[in-house]
Amino acid sequence: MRDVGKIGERSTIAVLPQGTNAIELEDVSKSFGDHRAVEGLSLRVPTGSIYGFIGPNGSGKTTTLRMIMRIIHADHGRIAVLGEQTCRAANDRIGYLPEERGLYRQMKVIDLLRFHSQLKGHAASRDEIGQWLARLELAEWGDRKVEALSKGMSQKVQFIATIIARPQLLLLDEPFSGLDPINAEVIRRILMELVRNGTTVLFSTHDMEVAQTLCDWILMIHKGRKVLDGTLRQIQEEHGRDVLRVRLNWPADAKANLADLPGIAQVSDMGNIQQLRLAPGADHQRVLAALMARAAVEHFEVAQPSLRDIFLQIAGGDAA
Amino acid sequence: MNFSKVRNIAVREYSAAVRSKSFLISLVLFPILMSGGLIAQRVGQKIGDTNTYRVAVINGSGDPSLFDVIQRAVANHNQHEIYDSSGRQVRGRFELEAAPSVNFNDTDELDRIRLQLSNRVHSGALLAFVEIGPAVMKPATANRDDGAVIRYCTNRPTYQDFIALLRTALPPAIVRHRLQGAGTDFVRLEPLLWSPRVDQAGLVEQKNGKIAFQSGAGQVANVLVPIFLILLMFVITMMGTSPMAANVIEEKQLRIAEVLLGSVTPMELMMGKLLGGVGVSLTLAAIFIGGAAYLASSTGFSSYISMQSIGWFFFFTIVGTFLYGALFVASGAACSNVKEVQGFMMPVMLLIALPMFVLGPVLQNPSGSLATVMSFFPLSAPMIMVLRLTIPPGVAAWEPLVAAALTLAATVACVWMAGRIFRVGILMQGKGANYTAVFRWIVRG
Repeated sequence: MRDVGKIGERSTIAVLPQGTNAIELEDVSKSFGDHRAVEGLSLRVPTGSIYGFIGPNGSGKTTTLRMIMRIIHADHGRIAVLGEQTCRAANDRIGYLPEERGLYRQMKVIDLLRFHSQLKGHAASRDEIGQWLARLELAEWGDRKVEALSKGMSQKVQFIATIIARPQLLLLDEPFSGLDPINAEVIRRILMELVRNGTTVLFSTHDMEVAQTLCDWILMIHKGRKVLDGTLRQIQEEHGRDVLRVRLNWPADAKANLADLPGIAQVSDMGNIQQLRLAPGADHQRVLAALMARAAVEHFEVAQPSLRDIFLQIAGGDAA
Repeated sequence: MNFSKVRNIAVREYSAAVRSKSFLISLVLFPILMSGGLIAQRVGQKIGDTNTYRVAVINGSGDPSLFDVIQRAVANHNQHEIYDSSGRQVRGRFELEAAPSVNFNDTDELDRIRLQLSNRVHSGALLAFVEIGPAVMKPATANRDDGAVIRYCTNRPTYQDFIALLRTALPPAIVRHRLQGAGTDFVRLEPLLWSPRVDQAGLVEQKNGKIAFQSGAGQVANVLVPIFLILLMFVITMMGTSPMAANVIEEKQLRIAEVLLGSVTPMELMMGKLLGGVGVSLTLAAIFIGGAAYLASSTGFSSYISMQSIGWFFFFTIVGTFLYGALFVASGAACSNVKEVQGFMMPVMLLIALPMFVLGPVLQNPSGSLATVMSFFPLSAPMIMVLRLTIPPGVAAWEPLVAAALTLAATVACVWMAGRIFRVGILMQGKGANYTAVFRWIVRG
């Protein structure tokens, strides 16, 4: 292990060497009664990467995160976290933010953060806690009880509690949900800073835009099975350049209908823009010609499918 | 298990508990409740009783002097016994009236008078009426009938002053009248008629090594000290453990549990909670035992409780808190709201409160079979063994050791089972588990 740069003004984090995997899952399965929550999941999260974990509700994301944390145990398969395969050996080096946030309402914010840091074996000083609070614009709330905080403030306190012990690995279940854009941006910046300093981040999200812009790697599971795993470019290339984005100016007497256009498998109305998915083997030049025969083409773009498109394509009606 | 994490959880639990309003209220309330009787007595004495109570007497004995006997006792009471040292009236004054004379063989007439007097008792005009049976002056026979009875009829059975007066004055006078009626020289006979008093007495060793009889107050202390200790242990173990179920449910409902489980194992979390509860119990024990020891030493009663008993008290308080706490924590984990846990805990609560139900029989016979069995049964052993230890002559040296071993073994088993329930139940939401499911969690883990 080696020490890498500072976060804020204080301590450093010991991280695994680059090239190793912070998380390795091999053929992991978990059932609850008759329900198969996760099935045969294999995953490798490279050290220092940001791994986005997407999937519809009930697809097995939270179960997987809990298994990585050893809060629940896999029925089958192997899980290694930060090089440790034994139960909970690495937990002090992991920051975990569950989907359902929970804080002791009667505790003072500063006491609560100290308590959480101590549970990770890190005795955070008042100054250190104060710096984090100041950074998330909560400096004046340190001596107030948690019950006095708004929901957004509580989420920020929970986020500080997750990272205050300088974890090598962050597991975040929907870290941006419920945050306004300004606070989401503050947290995004902190995450990027942590990653630059060697922290590995695995987070689940429903926000495809966040996943697309923030993540080096993306994993999607659906009905407990892995359906996507790779960099965004790899995933987009796998799903081909089969999306057209067009803006048309229809003649006054024409009916604005593209569904019967030859070579088109799916039409999505995005408002000003219509998004067309090509049928297998269809040629976009022919489609352009057919469009020009019907209306004036103001915009024509051959695009890669967005993560949202791919998500909807896979999850279909189950998508959230 | 990481003991540093357990300690952090325990410190938080302890800190949250001792800062709660309910803790502070209990701290004040317990001594008030414990000394409630004494305070009420003192307050009652301060307020005093300035009432005048009227009592009617149906004298069926045929000897009018019996009424005079009561009258003299009443006069003595009114003159000497109703005032405190400052001359203020603190007890009720009595007035006597003779009911119409009646032939006890005329049952209709007797019932009419009884009804009349009873109505006056109900209306509050009379405190009571006394009925002296027609046969009270006759020598005893093998088949005594109702006529040889003195009846005291009232609707205030808890007010004992007048019946006590009656018991003191009337029976000796009746005996004297019988003897005089039989022609006995009563003046010569009376000194021979006294009955020796039977006193309960204990021996105490004085500072000079000599043995002396225990005072009456000391004998009362022999009973009150064990009762105080068992009530204290019940209250402090309940205060240390019963909030645990609600706390666990709160952690489930507010989703705090999963956050904590990201840092600690379920067993560490549970052990931290139990240790926090032990801290609360020991704090209360130290405060109350310390206060009681100070009171005892300042009033000369410190010899009525031994250091050995105090040692066992603290030991069983710790073990009892672990034992009951494990049951509360497991119940909280198995349920999803406070209402559910109340139903779930009912059988366990009955077992925990068992020592309170058998307090009377155990005090009466602390070496009997019931007391002995209960002092080895793990759920009641902490309280009953301390009770038996503090009632003279105490117990054999091996008995608390065996009780401690059995209770420790049961505690370890309970904590282990609670841990299995806790680790499954703590993350469960929605409907709580039933006993079958909980049993399955214990078996399968």
